[in-house]
Amino acid sequence: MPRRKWLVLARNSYMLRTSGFGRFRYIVPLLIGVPIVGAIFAFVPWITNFFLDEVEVFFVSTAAIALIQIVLFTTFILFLFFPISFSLNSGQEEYYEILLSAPLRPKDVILGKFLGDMPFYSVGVIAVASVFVALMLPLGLGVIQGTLITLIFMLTFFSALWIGVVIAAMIRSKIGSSTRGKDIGKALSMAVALPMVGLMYALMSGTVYTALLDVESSGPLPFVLDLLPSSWGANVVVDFAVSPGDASGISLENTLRVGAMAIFFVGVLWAGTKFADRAYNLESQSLSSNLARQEGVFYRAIRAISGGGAFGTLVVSVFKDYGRRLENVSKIVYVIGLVALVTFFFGDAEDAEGGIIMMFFLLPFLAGFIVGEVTIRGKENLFIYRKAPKGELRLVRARLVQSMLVMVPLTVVATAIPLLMMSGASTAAAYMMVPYMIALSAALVVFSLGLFLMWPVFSEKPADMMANVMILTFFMMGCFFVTLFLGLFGEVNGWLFILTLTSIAGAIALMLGVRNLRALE
Amino acid sequence: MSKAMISTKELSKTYGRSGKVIALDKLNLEVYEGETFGLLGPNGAGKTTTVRLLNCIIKPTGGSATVGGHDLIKGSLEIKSMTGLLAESPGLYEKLSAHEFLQFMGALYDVPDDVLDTRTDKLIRLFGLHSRRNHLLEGYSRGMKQKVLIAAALIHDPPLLFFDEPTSTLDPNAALMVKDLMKDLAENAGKTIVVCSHILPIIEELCDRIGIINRGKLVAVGTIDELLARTGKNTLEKAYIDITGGVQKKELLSWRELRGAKA
Ligand SMILES: Nc1ncnc2c1ncn2[C@@H]1O[C@H](COP(=O)(O)OP(=O)(O)O)[C@@H](O)[C@H]1O
Ligand SMILES: [Mg+2]
Repeated sequence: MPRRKWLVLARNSYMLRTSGFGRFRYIVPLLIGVPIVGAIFAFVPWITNFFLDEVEVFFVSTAAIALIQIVLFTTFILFLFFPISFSLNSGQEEYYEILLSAPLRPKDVILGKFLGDMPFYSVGVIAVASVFVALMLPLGLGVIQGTLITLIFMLTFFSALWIGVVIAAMIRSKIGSSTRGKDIGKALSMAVALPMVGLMYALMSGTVYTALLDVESSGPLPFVLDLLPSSWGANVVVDFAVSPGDASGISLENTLRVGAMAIFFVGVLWAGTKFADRAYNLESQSLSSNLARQEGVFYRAIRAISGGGAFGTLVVSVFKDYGRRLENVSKIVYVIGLVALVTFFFGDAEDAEGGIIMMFFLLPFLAGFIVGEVTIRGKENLFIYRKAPKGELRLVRARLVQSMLVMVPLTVVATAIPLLMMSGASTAAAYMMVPYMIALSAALVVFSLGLFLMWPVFSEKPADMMANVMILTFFMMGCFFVTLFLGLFGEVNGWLFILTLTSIAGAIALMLGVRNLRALE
Repeated sequence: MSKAMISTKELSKTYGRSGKVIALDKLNLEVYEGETFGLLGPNGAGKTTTVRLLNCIIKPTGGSATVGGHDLIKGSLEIKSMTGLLAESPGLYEKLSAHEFLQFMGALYDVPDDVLDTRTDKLIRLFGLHSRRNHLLEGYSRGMKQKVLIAAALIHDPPLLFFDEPTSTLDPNAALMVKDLMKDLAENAGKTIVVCSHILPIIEELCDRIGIINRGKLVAVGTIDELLARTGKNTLEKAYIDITGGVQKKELLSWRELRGAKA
């Protein structure tokens, strides 16, 4: 009898994830889940009891449906985008190639991985559901009602997750596993993150919530939300809260709703496997190999800025290798988008200083993203420079110039966004921040280059890059708090203090970095 | 006998804190100007380490050497300028075209602009890459990349060339072309060439002398005839196996026995 391949793969996927747990691996989800759920049930009802009246009032108000809709919808979207973003970012083709060279169907691979990960996602979903159930327990919620609520959460989120997994697989098969496909995938994974972050900010700042409460003036938003499967459950949850107790509270309508959700999930699962089999194969159409375009004004300008000649060619070459990676471009768009979003949702029109403080935490990321490229192509790539006469110095200088050329304009844009969006900032002093931030970002580029040469990152995994970025971030935070502590914050001396400290640290790091580059083997 | 281009004395390289991995153990070797020298040895023998040392990419942990009359440590700048290297697993910029990559390499070695342009063009044509010269390297096959890298090693026209496994990823036609190119470089351009390869026929045809290296030690050096005479074998392959030791034939299928293979 042929084994059920997706079951084998699900098991394999589960084993991979739990490999660190030894003989406890089979109960890992329980080990994580039981304490969490236990804690929720111990504390939440206890808290609800204090506010029982308010909670009851809340659930009969329109606000309840709106709030629960939002919670379900947000998590729905998160679960939908998470696998897309993740799968696009991590190129797992080699692994899939092994799997698909075995007698398997794509459906088995995708379904197997989904089911293998399900126990872990279940822990998260059940925890979220438990919060709601525990919150409503003091209202007199019945056991069946509680179970149904948990079921609603699970159905909603697993539908989302599965749709996300299938979409990810389909995008993958479309863009192919070529170098270029991977490149596009990475860029997309950053791109899909931005709307997600935007949504989160919109929710956090209360814009959507207000819109939902104010049904008349908010246009199509509540209507659209109602159509989404994530919202069907919200009505049931609120209904249960209004009429708690298994005997009286479970109406035919609510049973139908839960039934519809179950059917939706099964339908999605079924359609997904069909799609997966058809859309996902390894012989993805490879994208035509890309042509290098004729050198335009842009690169000619860069060549000129870096002084032309051999050095100009070096700078232009590393710049091309950087700029032609979509992923780098999307990282930059992401960071700038983040600045715009934060300013838009949280910016206080009177307070430009807040926007400036934000820059302290953003510039390290920007510098890290840009400079981190230096070692990412691997040791062998560095050996090209090692082989050339004075190659190490050429590398460092070319990278410094190239990184500055990317960093400075971005810093100007990122500083200008809060300044322009906030009316309180239109003073000459505020505009002095622009040259200041340019100087600071230049110092950070030096610092960052030093760090990445001291602790080179030879892989493209974002997690590996984070270590150096974190050092930069903590350094900036340290500077920030020291200035605050010295009472210099917001004063010229404070700004200069931070800049000086960063420059000194940068110079030292670069010196050590170059030394390490020379000794690398 | 002509002048020594490379001369090493007890040249050694160890890796790890306490020098646990002895990659190269007291190498004494002379390579003469204008000759083609073959470096043979099993995987992990220390060939790549030797090549990296002689190109000043890594620093020796013992001994000394001169390349083109320059000391390995003090004269590293001069040595790097006068050597060309095709590395075993070289890095390149995938997002550059062949043309752009060669321009980049030329810039690294300070090739004057006018020379660089014509040379880039000629090398690209020589390797049959002209129609693809503006395509990004990411779309090239391994063999095509190898051709670009060989061109890059030649871009500053150095008198001393190192080829570390030059043909291992090439198709037979391309391998033949590279072999002929190396021959031409030696015979008609007066280059000194050091080539590491496992492909014995190529070594046999190209090299004036060969050295066999095993576990970091140079165990034999001389012309092919000298090596054959020394081992009493009639082919280079047999001599090589004799010197480095091979796997016994009867052991080759021993892994099957436990499973009771019948066929
Ligand atoms: N960077 C390194 N770190 C540690 N050991 C290394 C390194 N490079 C090479 N070695 C070791 O040195 C020995 C010789 O390697 P290598 O010169 O690459 O051999 P070959 O080129 O002859 O196959 C091997 O045992 C290898 O593991
Ligand atoms: Mg080698």
